[in-house]
Amino acid sequence: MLLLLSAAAVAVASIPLVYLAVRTSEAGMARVLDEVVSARVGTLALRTLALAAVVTLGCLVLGVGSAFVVVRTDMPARRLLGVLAALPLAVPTYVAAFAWTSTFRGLEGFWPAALVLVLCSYPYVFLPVAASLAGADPAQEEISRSLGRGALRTFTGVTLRQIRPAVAGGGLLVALYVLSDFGAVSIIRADTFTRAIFIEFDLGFDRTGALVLSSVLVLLTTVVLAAETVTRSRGARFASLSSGRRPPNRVALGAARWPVVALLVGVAGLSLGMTVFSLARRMAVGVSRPGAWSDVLTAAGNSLWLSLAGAALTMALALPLGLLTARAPGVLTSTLNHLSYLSHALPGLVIGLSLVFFGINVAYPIYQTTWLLALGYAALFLPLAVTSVSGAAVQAPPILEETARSLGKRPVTVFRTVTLPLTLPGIGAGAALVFLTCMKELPATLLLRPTGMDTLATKLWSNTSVAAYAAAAPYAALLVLLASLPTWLLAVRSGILAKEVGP
Amino acid sequence: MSRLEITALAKGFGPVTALDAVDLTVPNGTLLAVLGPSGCGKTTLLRCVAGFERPDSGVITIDGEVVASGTSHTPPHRRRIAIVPQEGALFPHLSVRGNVAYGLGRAERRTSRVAEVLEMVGLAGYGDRMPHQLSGGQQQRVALARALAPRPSLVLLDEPFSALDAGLRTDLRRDVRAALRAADATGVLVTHDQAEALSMADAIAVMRAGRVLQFGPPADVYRAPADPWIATFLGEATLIEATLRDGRADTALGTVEVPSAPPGTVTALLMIRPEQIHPGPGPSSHAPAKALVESLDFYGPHTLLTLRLSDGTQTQAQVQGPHPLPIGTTTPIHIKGPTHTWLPT
Repeated sequence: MLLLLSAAAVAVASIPLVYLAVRTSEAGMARVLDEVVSARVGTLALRTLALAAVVTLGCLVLGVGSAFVVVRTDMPARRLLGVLAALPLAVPTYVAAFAWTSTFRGLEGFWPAALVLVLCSYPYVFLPVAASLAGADPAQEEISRSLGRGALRTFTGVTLRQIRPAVAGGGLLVALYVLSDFGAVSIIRADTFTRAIFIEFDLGFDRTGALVLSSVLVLLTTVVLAAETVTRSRGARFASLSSGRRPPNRVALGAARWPVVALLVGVAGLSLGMTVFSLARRMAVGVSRPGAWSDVLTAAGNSLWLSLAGAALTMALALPLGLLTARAPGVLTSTLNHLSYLSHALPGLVIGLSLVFFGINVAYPIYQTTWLLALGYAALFLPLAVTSVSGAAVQAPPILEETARSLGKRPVTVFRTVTLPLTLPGIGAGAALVFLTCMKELPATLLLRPTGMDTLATKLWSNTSVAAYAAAAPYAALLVLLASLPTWLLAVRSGILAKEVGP
Repeated sequence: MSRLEITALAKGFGPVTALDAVDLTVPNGTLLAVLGPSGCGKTTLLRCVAGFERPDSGVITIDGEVVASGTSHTPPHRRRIAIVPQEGALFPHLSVRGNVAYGLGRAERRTSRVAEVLEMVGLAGYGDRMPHQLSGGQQQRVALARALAPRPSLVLLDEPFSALDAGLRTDLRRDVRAALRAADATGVLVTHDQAEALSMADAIAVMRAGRVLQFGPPADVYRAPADPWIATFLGEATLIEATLRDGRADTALGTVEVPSAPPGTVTALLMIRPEQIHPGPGPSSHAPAKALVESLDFYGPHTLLTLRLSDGTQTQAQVQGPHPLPIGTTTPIHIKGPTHTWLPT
């Protein structure tokens, strides 16, 4: 049952892949080879992978480092800095890229793009790693210390291993995000696959070139996924039921505390401060006038409603697959999981195109409705939701459900009274993440929204593309503000804000 | 309450045979202990009875009603079989009252049933606590109350005391036994702790490698184990090969009376428990055997002596209270009570 529902969910998420396969095969082998086998594609592939590698590495260093000092040291104002470290998640990469390029003229190319992407994406690593550091059992570290290992060797030998799944999961999200990012790389003019796909699509009437390039991107994603699977190791899948866990040990920073604080504040300044400063300046000195406030409010309403629909549909599809991942791990389950990741790495542009095609030819009743866009969001963000559902399912070990059934409750009742209440907080966090990501999403929204329905993201885009920066600023500001709410929720969930309990 | 009958139950996981032709009967209101080392199939047996696993073949009946066979399978929630899992497994999001009331119907929740079972397990007044505010022993008591509340036909206990410390365990065992009696519940206790099985159960089934090796009252199984492996699994035992002649055997422990021996001369394996070996010359006319005291373990109420016999065999004797013999002395020893023997087959 669970397997069937999961397969159905993955099938829905794979609609764009099917479209891609059909269209690519229609183009004929000769044409495909012609497009793919070229020096340009090789260079693009290398550059895209290099960007993904650099950004992932940067995010891992920044994310794990800041998570460690926030959760495991006696740094001053650690709760405030924890929130600051999570907040860049609320800034869409294209908004940050716009902020940087409008402040420093002529900023373009590989390294600036890498910088902006790292600054916007490191919370993908920070949040899960901080949560995992907060929840890790300190007894294991103490045992390592008592066996004569120093602080550093304990960290690399025990702590890093405990948080490994979180580090790997966060790193994977970053790598996939970079592969599919469109807004930042096109504003900063870094030549990557997504930008090339967009240019192909924009230049010619023939979309085959763009689609073939998209297929190559899917292959690159497979490489990244395979690399992640190879390095994965099986760990304990269920939370310990025993009570009386102690809070984690904290490292006394001593004299190093202020430089560490300065470092974190500096990072937050570069990621958040830069955006806020630039938006404020634009609003103050811009020559273009913002439109009526009612326009802004309508766009905000649309953003909220579309993101809500997207998050709801995504979570509904993710629930069976996430539970299956936690309960019955196996070849079939991981294959389904990986299939869902493939769509996640597709540029929103390709998802948008394929669903337009799907809407016109197969599912006309939902074409030009909110639900086709919601479907696009689901195809894009299913893995985000699946990860949080399977993480949450760990909170409800099977023994609890079995006990409940032995007490005479039907499976449906057990699900409602035991499984759901225990997993709901984690599922809620997943929904918040999906909601947030839907709100920031741009290219698929541009293509799939019902005609005339503007969101904050599309308004922002249409204004910046005609250089109406001051008009764009209120949309950007409201978008970041609204996105901060679910981000804050996520930060709270991660446990980094937990107050000290007892000695 | 109810009678559980298991006939020719078999269950395999791929190439591994977890249960192999298991036959067991648990009469109304009694407690059966299934005893065996890890991996012997005892937990699989419990899960088959609870309905979490489907047996490959064989029949399980409760009060004559078939709940599982090779072809039919009553789902767990219709079996009226409650389980007390390892470490309690209380629902962490529910209070003690919520946990205990979980298996009750809407109408019954309004009665005093919850207070009644909490009283029965010695936790009256704990209803509003949350599971994480309870000690390990209290959590187990709540898990038992939760299982007993809906008046199940059968209570299954899956190593319920293994996570607790020794002192607490003894108390809890006694209380659990009393609570089960008070509820007139039929129970199956799965454990690898022989003291737990011997002290709590009305009957013991010793399992190894998916098979029930012996099934009977605790005293019988302890006194007359079916084979040497069971003998040593149930407690300390010295096994000596000896020649039986006219109902007695000459061993390094001295001359031993074997009332059950067949007439004539046969070779047999003898089992002697530490509490049967006593230091000092015995009342018999035979010359007593001698043993060297190698070590002493003082436990308070009794002392365990490790002895080396003249032929090099090591054995243990259990004596009341502290023992004055220092290590290194040689003492005469004698054996009291009937000795169990296995004749060669």
